[in-house]
Amino acid sequence: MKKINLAVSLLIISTAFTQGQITGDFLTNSNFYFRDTTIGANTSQYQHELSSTEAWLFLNYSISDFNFRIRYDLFNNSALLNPNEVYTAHGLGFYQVSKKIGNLDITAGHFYDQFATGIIFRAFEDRILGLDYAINGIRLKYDFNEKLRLKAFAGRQKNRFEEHKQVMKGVDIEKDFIINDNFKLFTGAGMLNRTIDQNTMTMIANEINSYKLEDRFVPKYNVYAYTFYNNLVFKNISWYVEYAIKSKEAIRNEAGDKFLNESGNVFYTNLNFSVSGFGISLQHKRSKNFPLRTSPFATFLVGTMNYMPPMSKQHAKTLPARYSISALEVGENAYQAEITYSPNKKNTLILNGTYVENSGGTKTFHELYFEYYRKINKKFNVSAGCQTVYYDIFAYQFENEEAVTTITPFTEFVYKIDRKKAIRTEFQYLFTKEDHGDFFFGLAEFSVAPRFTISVSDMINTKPLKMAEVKHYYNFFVSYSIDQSKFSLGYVKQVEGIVCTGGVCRVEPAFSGIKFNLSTSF
Amino acid sequence: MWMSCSEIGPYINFKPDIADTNLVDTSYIASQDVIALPKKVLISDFTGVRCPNCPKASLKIHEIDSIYPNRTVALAIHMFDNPLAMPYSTDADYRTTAGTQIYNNLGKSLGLPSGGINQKKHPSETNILVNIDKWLTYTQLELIETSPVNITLSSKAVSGQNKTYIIQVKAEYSKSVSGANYLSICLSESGMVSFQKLPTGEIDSFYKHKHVLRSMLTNPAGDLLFNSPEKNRVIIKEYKIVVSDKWKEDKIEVIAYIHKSGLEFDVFQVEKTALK
Repeated sequence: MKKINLAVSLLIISTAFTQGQITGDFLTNSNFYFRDTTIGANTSQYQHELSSTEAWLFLNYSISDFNFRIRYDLFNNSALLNPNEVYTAHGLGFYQVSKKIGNLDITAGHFYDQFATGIIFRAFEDRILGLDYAINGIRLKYDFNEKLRLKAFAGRQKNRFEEHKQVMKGVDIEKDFIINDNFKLFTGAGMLNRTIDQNTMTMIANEINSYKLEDRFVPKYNVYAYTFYNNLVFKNISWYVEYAIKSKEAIRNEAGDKFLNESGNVFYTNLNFSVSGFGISLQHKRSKNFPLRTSPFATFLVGTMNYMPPMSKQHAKTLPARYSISALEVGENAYQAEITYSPNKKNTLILNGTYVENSGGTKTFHELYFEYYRKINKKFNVSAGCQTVYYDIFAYQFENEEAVTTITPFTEFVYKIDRKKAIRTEFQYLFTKEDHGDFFFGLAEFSVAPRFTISVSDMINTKPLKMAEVKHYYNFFVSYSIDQSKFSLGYVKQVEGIVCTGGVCRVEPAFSGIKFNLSTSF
Repeated sequence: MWMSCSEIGPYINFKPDIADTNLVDTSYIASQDVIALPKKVLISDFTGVRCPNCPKASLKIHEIDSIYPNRTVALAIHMFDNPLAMPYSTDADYRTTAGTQIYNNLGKSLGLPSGGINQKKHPSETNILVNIDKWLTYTQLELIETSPVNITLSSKAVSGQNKTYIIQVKAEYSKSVSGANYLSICLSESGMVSFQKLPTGEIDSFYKHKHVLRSMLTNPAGDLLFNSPEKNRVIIKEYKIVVSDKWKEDKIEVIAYIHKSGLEFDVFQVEKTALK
């Protein structure tokens, strides 16, 4: 309530100024649940609540280098933050005041930010996954000049409508060296500190005191993480290197049943080369004992303070995206290479390969992917390709099941009827002898740009290994856009599986029902 | 700047007693229903010899005990890192590492004396530790509650081993409790005559200290007793202790309490018995 009063007061004060500007956006999702026990769609929402809603209204008021931002969040019977929970709450999910004074930028309240790629610190929001890692505190940014920047913050990570008890602070400095037009260096260094609260430390100490003597250690209240990074640009080559280390702290072992007192490190590099019609990207990441969380008791996606750059291809297509991965916190050794070749405007070939092993040297994931795109004529284009994946379910989902090997061919056809109307189809087939077995996916979509889209799709578990019979996962979808607003409505049946955005993943239970979505901005 | 000081970590016991295979450590379900006994209340009195108002806390404990005889158990805790607990002489140093850790766990307080009533954060309070004027009220509120567990506590001298005792704790659950239950066992001593600052500002050289925490047989935050004990669950544990030569055995009480640990430390039941 105090937060609401504060925000309303700020808005009233700010609206006293007549020359300011208010902008904002609004997003709401409503789900209506149709119980289907045959696919596992039977969480509490299917049995009791029957519907859920989430909404976010963001308002931004700017005047005289002041910025006032608030966001009203609503969760009614929501499964977004935890698929196995019925969460109901509403209130101010975000409030911020910022002011620019010369080269100094002061922010108080919630903010999102990151150091370098985010390996030691990233505060971000992802509404698809129900993530909100905003920091509530103070942030200062100072630009010494165009080529030298410093930022520092202190605060606590948001935890729904409260904050985690652990304190965080950090500082990051960046310097650009522009040697000439062909040779540039963008370099920087950052540091993060997190302090465990007394109650959490008591729980850690209790557990350690129950260990055998040789496994006991004195846990640290403070963890310190440092990162050093540099991006070198030379003509058509871009080479990014980052090395991060963290001090010893109590972290969970791989089995998750014991604390270890370990320091950690990450090495990440990304080399890109591109000329007209040809591009190659090589990535490598080696990490060891690098969970950075508000507390070692925080699990899954709760309390994550950092972000590991994804080391696998990010897929938009349904079946190739089915076995996507996130980083292994305890440690991994990962490689990725991608080549894009376009000899002319009508043909493009994409090749991608990924290999990941855990810190013990055991393979946990590999992927080979190729896609060929051809523009037949002005009206018709087609793409086709194939993906093969090895996915260790235990490593990524902690489920004691056999690793999955898949082969997934896919095609897409787009036919433009005229300048506005188009028909698009997708066909994919996933072959596997593990997990749920084979799947077919087909989609047909008709769109009238820029307002109207209607699609129908079916994902069929053609050779079910966990179901008694062949299952269809139908989707009917329609969306309509007018001005800045977009309405969409869909009837959805969705198989349980991994949902990832930007390399952050979570296991989603099956869904059966209707989804309504409205987004607008003003 | 951030790393200018080396931090002091939590208490980790690197010298656990070597497990004595003769000590009882067992658990079973009772064949007959356990009947709940009246709840007793632990009054943790955080105090210091240089704290002028701390003798008032001792009087308050005496007052509560006279109103509810044999229903309260007092424990006077002197802490390191607190100037009010700094001893006047080395031979009358009542501070303990275990007591300091308990003080840290319960959230400390702005001043002394302060106390925990069953180590619980009571409604309308922001802290576990409260001023002495609230001790009687919160004790009364605790006494009307029913405890889910009974404690039977005994102490037995080991024949042929000087100053050595076996402490046996028997916990019997009359109701199931969800979550982890912890057991703490303390030794407290009374009757030591030494310095104490008085409310008048004078130092009393012949002040008689009572219920002073001397040692713990368990971890300061408790040893795990049982996870989510069910109704009629019985747990029996024995601990062996060798009493310091500096302590008077006939003035020592053994205190055992079962409680939560971690984020909350609420005491479910407490019991005491004479060591000798």
